[in-house]
Amino acid sequence: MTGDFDLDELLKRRLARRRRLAQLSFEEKIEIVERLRELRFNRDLMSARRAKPEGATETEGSSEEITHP
Amino acid sequence: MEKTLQVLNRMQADGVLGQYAIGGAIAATFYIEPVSTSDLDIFFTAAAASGQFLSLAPLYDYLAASGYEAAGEAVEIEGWPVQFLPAFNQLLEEALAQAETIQFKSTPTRVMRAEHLVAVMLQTGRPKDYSRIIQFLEVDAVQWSRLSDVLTRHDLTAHWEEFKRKFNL
Repeated sequence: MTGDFDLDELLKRRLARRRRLAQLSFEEKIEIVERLRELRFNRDLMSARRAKPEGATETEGSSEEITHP
Repeated sequence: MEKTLQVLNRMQADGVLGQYAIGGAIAATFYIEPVSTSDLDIFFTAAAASGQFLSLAPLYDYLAASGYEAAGEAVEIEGWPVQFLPAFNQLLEEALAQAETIQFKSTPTRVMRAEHLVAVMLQTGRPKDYSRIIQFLEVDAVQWSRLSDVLTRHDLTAHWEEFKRKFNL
């Protein structure tokens, strides 16, 4: 036990999850990868918008600096 | 992804791209859990004449003529940034030659075998490569006799022993 959780149990569950995911078809796995790319793209877009200086306005093509998945 | 693979197959049929195989994170995804990545690594036969630099220009020109533009080190093909990587050493040449033919939906393609991917990761040796090798081992993705043959042939046995020692395997 580590603190208030069982590390061995956690590792066992993580391994079981990895094995389950590895058993998916290639097509299903690629769908997950594509979803992850989309999430990352949206996160990067949000960060870029937040990083804009105050008062700056959206200009045409500004979001194209980030490659869409 | 399927449309991207169809473009690659068309390039091959048109003689612009030689034999190719998927490597890197997408190939790893074929064997283990999905790996987060932003691009598709395509290894291909590098047939530059001896002493000459390999030019990717014909490949890029062909793609540009089809409306696929280069973006950084990759070419954006049907939503996937594709990196074209010549098989630049004997291990990669073998991995390419012995890649497995698979179907992605209704499109045939080729993926490097698990044992070659592990050997390539061992040779590359970044922390993320070691971590991914462990994932291959955790889900029993490699055939030990085949891996042993690959490691021996490419002089990676000492690397493997060191890797095992480092990670208490």
